[in-house]
Amino acid sequence: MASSRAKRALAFSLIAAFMMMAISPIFATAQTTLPGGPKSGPYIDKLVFNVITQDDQQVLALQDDEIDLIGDMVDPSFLDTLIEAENIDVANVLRNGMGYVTINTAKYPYNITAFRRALAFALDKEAISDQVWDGLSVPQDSVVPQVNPGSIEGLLPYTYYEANVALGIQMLEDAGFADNDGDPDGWLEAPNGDAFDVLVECAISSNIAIEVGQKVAEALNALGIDAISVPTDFYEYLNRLYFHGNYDIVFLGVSFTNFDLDWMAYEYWGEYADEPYFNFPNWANDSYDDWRDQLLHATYWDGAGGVLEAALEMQEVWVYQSPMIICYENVLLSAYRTDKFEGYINDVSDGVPGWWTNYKVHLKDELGGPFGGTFRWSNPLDLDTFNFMVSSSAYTMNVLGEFYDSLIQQDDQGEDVNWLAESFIAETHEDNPNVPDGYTRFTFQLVQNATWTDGTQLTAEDVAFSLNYFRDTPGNPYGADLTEMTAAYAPTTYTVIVEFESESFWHLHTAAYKPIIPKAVFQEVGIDGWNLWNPDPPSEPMVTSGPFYVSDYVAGEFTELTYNPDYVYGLDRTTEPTTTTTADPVDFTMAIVAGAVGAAVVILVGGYVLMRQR
Amino acid sequence: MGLREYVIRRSIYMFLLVVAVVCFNFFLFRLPTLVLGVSPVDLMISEELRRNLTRDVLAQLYTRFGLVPDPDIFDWIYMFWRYIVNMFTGNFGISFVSQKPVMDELMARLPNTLLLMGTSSIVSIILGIYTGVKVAADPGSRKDVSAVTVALFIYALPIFWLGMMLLMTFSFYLPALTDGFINFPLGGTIDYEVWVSAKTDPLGSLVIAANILHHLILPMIALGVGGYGGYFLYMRNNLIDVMTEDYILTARAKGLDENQVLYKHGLKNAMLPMVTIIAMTFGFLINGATLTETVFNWYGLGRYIFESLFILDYPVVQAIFMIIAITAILANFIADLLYGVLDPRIKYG
Repeated sequence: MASSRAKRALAFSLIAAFMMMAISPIFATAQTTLPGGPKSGPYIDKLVFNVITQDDQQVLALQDDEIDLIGDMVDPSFLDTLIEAENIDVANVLRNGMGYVTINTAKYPYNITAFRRALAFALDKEAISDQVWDGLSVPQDSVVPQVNPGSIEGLLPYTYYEANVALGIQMLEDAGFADNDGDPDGWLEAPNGDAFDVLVECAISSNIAIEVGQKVAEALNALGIDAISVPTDFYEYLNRLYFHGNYDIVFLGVSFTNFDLDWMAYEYWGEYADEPYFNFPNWANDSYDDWRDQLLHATYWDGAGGVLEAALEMQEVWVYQSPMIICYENVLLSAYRTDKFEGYINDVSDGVPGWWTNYKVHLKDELGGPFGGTFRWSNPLDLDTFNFMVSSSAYTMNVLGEFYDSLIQQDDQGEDVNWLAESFIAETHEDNPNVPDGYTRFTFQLVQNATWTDGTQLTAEDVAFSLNYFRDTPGNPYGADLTEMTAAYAPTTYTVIVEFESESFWHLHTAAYKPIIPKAVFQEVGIDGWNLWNPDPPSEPMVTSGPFYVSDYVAGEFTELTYNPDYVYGLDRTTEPTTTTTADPVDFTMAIVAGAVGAAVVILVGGYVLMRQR
Repeated sequence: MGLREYVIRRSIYMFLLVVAVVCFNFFLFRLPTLVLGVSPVDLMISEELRRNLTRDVLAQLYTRFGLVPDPDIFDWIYMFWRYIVNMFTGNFGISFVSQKPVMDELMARLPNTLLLMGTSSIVSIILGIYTGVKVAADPGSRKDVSAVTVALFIYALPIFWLGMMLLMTFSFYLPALTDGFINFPLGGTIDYEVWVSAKTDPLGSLVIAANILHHLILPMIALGVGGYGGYFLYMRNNLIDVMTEDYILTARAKGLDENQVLYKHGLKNAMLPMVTIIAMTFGFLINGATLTETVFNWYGLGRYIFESLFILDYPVVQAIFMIIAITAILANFIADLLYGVLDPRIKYG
């Protein structure tokens, strides 16, 4: 029989063992956490963009371990190959954009709402998603993509998702469309008795466009309307749309880079029905325009009188009137290797190939992570320039987007995160009598440890200069939306005041999403030299502030970026990773639950043993 | 008329031809604008910019690119005049896309194009002449029929398809099957990893050169094989024709051995038409191989033409076509002069 001492030792051993069990999940969590906080990064040493132009070569390069990430949306035809491949994952995210057909509402009988609604009801959007996109898209009615929190999708009492040809025919009949001309063709005539036929144009370069165009023509035929779909040159019809030339129905796609909605106030505004580059359907509607002022000039998002209310009301009118018919919101596919790196971020705007992946991706622990490593992208086109103000190429911006930070950054969920701005306040005359009536004033307090790569401090002077520079440089696309900015100045080293001559919720993003450029460099470049500025790194190093800088560039082959050791949210790579930081929320919850269970077991078993001993 | 008069006359003729090419060049690349109304500015406006576009910004965009929105006849005349002045003063302008001088952009790509086109042309010319001569010595033989069949087959192969097959075989399937023992790059002119390691290697330049050659092999084979068929058939047919001439019969009657007849009398005369073809080939070296460079991701002028055409980068495409036209005209002229040097029977006049 064991002595009481032995029993006590056993009891304490058990308690110790169970205690270890109870707290062990915490250690497990600590091992998988990354040093730093949600704003910390980057973790990789180098970021390389290899120029690989063809889709199939990008897939082969990923399979061959020549790249870690395909830097473009993956063609769905490669999905099976990639899913079957070893060490490759495929992620998807709903696109912040969509495919649609625009209807020329300036032309009879397409100006009749019943015609457009009948087509909307007759078009089988479910079939487009299932057959054209093989399930990689969802039906959509609103002009605002459903990934946008301001979308009305799913909030209306009806949808146009499934084909309802009977309802469409009824609408046309009620509107006066009929086959009365005695012609045996069987096609309907317009309410005024004129025969008409519809030409649906779609881009010859896109199979999806051709198939959707065919579906639209079939829907019109099902309604009894003479229609054909013709694949044609995209840029030719785009030019007609830009300048309000003649067309019936045309297929197009659109993408957005953020979740702002102020564009709705211009894109379909009645006064812009003839404005070049805007309002493709040439549409004007008073009910829609009535909400425009609130959308543009409300200063808060939610509630009565806010921008969301106006946006939803405008969408409701728009969906009912159907000047365009949204056909789908498709999925963006991304593919990446999983054998070396982890921490890929599936951004709501960009998918995996985006700024946040570059910022957060890190080497696996077993390979000596989280710091270090060379993360390799494929980029379908080479940089056309290192001047970010000149380029309109998204592929160039994949690289240049790493160089200059902004006051506020959009996170991977589309939410605003203060970045170079530590905090800010927005004021109107109502909040502060010093602000002129009808004006909006933003006061940004900057972080105080941001530096340029030449070692100088990034200050409020740089921020004020950047905004003024963008506004004042003639033809600079970054200044196109700054025309209402009346002042940007720096009263102190880390305070910037930006004023707009109107009140608007959207002014914040207009100013705060702009890249901040170094005053010292661009003062020399000058107002007229903005488009001729032609940096040639690394032989002529660029002065930047972002997480990476250019360390090597071979034209047509690759661009190598190296992490900025002095980055404002950079990490100290010389010390061991701490364990008290960004734990994954799911792991942390698991740790608490496991810990609680372990503790309960310790208490029960330990108590039982001690009581028995007593 | 002597050589001097001939050269003067041809120079005047060449100048007029260049003027015609320059004029044609202007309208050729503006056809999308002339016929369809598509403006390069439309292609450069991103969706984001379009949504924020104001009339001022748009006007400034057009001004920046030296364009006129919705041009009338007087605008066209003005643009044409400015273009002519620029072309004849050697000012090819600024690329719409990169905002860099077009000449800088061309010079950055020219060495790669010359390397690829030069090596592949030399390979195909040497192989074509060599095999052409070999089979022409015995026309109608099994060797001749087989070689002609193979050459015709190769001649008919689309080079871009051949390129893709080479890539699939030597850059993907064979590396997988041989565990990387046979491994050709998927494209480009240099590997990033090699470039980085070469920087710290005392023999870095050699390492880089070897890597470039490694990248060169597949596109060179694609282009070389693609061009081989033509040279072979020209050489063979010329030589077979020549071998029926009276002077060949005379040579044989003199008792010369067949090799002497073939190489000394036959080949020398059969080479005359080949001189023109070879001269023209080297005249077109600068042209690049649009499809091959695109398939192999080769950073050259061919790929640049392809990319620039799509985005209506007028200054780039018109400069490249201008240079191609001038080199082709010059190559033709040089070939004509060489003709006279190689064949004393030819008189200029």
